Amino acid sequence: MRIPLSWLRDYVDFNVDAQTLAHDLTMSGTKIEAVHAPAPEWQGVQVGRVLESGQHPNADKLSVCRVDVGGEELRIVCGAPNVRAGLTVAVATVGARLPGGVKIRKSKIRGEVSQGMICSARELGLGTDAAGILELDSALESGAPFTGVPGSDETVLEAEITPNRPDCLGLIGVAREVAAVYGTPLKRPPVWSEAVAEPAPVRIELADVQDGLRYLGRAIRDVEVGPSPAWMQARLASMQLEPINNVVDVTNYVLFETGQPIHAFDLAAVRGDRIIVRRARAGEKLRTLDGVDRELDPDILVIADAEGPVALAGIMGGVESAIQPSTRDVFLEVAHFRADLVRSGRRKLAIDTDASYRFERGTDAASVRWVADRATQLLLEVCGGAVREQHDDAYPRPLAPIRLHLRSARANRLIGTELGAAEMARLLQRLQLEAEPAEAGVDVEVPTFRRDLQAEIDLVEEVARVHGYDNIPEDVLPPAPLMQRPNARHEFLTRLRHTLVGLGYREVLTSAFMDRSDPDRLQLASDDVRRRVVRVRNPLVASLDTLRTSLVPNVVRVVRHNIHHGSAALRLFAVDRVYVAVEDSSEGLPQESERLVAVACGARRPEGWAETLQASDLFDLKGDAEALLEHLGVDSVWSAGYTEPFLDFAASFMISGSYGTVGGGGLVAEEVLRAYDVDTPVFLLDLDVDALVRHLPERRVFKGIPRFPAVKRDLSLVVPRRVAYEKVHAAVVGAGGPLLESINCFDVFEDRALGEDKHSIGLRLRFRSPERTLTDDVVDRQIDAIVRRLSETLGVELRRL
Amino acid sequence: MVEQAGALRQRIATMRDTALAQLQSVADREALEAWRVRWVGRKGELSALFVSLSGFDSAQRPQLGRELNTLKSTLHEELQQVESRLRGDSGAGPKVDASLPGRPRWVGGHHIALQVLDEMLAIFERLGFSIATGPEVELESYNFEALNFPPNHPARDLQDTFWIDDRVLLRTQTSPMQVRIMRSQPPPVRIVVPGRVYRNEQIDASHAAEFFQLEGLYVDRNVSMIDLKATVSHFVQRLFGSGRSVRFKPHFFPFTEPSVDVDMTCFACQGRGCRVCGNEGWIEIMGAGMVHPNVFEASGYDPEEVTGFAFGMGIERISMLRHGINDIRLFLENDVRFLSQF
Ligand SMILES: [Zn+2]
Repeated sequence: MRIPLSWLRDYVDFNVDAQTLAHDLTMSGTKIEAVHAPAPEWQGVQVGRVLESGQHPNADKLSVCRVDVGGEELRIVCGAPNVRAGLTVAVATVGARLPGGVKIRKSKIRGEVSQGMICSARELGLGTDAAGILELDSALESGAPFTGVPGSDETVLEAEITPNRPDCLGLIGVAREVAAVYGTPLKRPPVWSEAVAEPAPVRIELADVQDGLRYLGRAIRDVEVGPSPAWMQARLASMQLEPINNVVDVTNYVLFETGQPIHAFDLAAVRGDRIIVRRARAGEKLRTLDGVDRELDPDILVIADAEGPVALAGIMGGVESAIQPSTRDVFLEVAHFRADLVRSGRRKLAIDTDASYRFERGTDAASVRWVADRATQLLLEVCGGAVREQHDDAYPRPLAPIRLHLRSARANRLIGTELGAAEMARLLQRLQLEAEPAEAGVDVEVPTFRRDLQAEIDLVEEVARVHGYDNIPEDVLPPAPLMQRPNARHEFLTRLRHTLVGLGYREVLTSAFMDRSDPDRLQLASDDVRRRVVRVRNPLVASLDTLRTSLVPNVVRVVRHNIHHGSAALRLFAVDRVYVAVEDSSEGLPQESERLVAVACGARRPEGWAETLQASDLFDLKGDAEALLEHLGVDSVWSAGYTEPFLDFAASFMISGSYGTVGGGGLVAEEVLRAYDVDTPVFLLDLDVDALVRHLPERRVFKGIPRFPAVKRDLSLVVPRRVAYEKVHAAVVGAGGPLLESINCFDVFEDRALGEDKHSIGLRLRFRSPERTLTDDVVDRQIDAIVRRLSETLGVELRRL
Repeated sequence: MVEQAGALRQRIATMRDTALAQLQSVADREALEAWRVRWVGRKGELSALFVSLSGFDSAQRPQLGRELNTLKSTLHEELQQVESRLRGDSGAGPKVDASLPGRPRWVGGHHIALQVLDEMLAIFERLGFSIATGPEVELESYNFEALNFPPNHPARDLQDTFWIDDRVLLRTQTSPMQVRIMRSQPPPVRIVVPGRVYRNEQIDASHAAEFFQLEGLYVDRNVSMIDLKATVSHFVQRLFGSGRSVRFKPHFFPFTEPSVDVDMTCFACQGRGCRVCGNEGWIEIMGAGMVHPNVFEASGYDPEEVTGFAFGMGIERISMLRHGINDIRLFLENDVRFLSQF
């Protein structure tokens, strides 16, 4: 909402500058977002008339113009698309200085001499429009100094009006706020008030009382349609509105003044001397003022005459009944429509007008008559004519006045003040509310222009803001309650994230949307639960309408982004949500759960002098995963091979625990990497956070520090390649007996001498007894048992040196 | 002072010559120890020179300090050599160049938005707030209706919404958790809710279609705007530094009344006005207010029994303000050249 200050002064006096007013309004609840200072003064800018505009010989988009600037003729090169012969323009002549410090010099542009510049609004400091040159009123004399455009000498505040305050969408409403801030009176503009005797020429009918709350129609005869006077055009210009003709200008003027939209019809176009406010009938059509043919239906409220719709109620008038230069008699409409009906109608038709914006936020039904008299006053003043007949005013169900009681104790308890009832009443009176101190509080009769005040709590806010939020103390912290509710899950997620950071991984935060094609790119099976996606009905981008069911796609995209931007060695992780559609959940909502995805790719270590660079492999990722789970204390079983369609099964591992699978990791399958345009191997870990939580140790119990030394034995084994390490490991555990404390695989190596199908594995075994120092022969017996088991079940033999 | 600095330099030179000359004549470990105590010991002559540094002003001190450090390392190196000679070392063994960089490690780190969020949560936890989280795919009734947004009301235009179907949407705010929490527990409530929210908005440098919010809710008997102002002021000073002032402007949110917009003095200009704050000296950081009685009623609380305040703020926005980040799109891009700066 624009607030031109000289216009505002018609309704309220204030003795502060624009900045102070802006601050004071902001602090009392009318947020001023900008203060537009009046336009600067120009030096060396003249009014000119374009005599001729021709194509620049060397540039497609430039014109070479001859411009008359009062007896003198200039050649000027211009790049604006709207330049043409006959136009009146602002010309910055050689030597001129423009706002922003640009100085105009004689120049050559692509070989053509240019003796100045034809200016756009932005170049003149008159706003942001730089799309073309500013077109001036053709009545201006060429050669005259340029003094701005109508309204440009005005200081304008730009206010954000919240949806609860439609009254401030008119300047009188804003003036009420100013009056409340400074405790000054409100000034009312003059209104027409004459007694007329003739009956109304048009009868108003409301088809449904619910739909059209109030409709007042008045005829104004013998007007003279033409341009409105300069003062009115200037004020509309300060609202950034183009003047149209004096009748329409008055309707717009009154809208900005009162916040009440009004409409003027050509009375001659109203057929049958009747105006009916009704729902449109299916199949009815109307060409609106913007030239669009609209298909109507019963959800849309229309103004109709005896033969059909002539306007969309509260939204826009029709072309047929619009004011024409030839219009003699005007039919003035001032009405109040139901807010939600205007809103649904204009949404259905996808139009948004100054009128609908105000109606859907709520207008003041009680002020309809006053606004009509005000508009009449201005119409007679600006367009001539006379009112000879009475108006018809259909207002079958006047809104009941709202009476509220404010308990001062309640208000003080909420605000933290100790104001008395009389003081509260005074604060409310400053807002033009009828407020009287009454028993333990204030009785308030809410004026019709403040229908947002519906309950006691609304008055509490009014008291607080007029009193001033600044005057509420803020130096006493509330006491902390004795008990906090622990959030174990949040604490675990935090611990998980911190552990990964400790392992050298960088946290990423990716979009909750995935691409429609991601399930296919991940090669998910047709019955994979991650195909049960949740889709958004109205996405920003058509392909991004799907909530992710896996973190993998977006994390791989982050890998790609960074590789493409020069960071090829990455350790990244995300702990975040996925969303899976579920049938018959309690609230019909999808299942949301957290997952962990970590990736490793590129060099094993950051580049340094002490080691040669090696590429990461599966065991870098697996080692980190093992460290993570060990740190968390998760008791887990690891096995080779993880059936996950986006991983290479042969280079993958699965992690499970006593309650099922926790997740797994491995090399991302080549086709998948190709689908994401990544051309280096990426190792990826994907864990179910809930499964991790299920496998957390409840509490760790101290087991004592071993009192007796361990006995260490190294075994060098020749292992057929078809036998996986985990088999060897399991066999050793199975045969090792209770004294076997740990197995550490310290070596895996190839040796041609062993043959193609075998390799060598070195194991370091530790035996320990909690009760005594072990003797060699006890350990030897265990080793024998292990070797025998390996040989018999797996064909694994001791290496002979 | 110039003369004194010259005098100190003179003493440094003299000490170097004398000490090194004496060291050449050291013949056994006993003599070496005596030398060490005299020159480089804790109360030795070198220490005395370092002590005298404090008499110089801050313009001269760094340079003189460097010169003294050079002397110190010279003396220590020579001492080491004589020590090995006396031990019988040949001095030809492998030597390391300790000035080489160490073996580099991967350095992990938290995403900046989550770092800031974690810090915010810690501040509120110390004030006695518990942490709760809730669904991002939410019922319309929690996101709007129970929060006092009437159906088909322009207030809903304030938050462009992604719809799943007629009754399910992507939450536009963390506020629906206010209702979920109050329906699940009796008062008092003191809770913060971090989480992702969605707005169906065109994305640019300052608008994201998904971002994180932190919601706060405090309900008890006799909670007033004083508690709100004090809590918010305390939070801002903990997160941004104690020099910040905070101001509270009346505003409108359907689910609070009175409602508040909270501004903080601009971190870039300290309130004088600059480009960052649009010449205002103030920057908006959160919305807040007293819980609307209708929200209490929708949540099963009696608004005559309890009062409370609520607040909500955007994590990315706060991170941008605190760390001078100029484009919100960087948060989801995850370029390591961005991530590694925090
Ligand atoms: Zn600033």
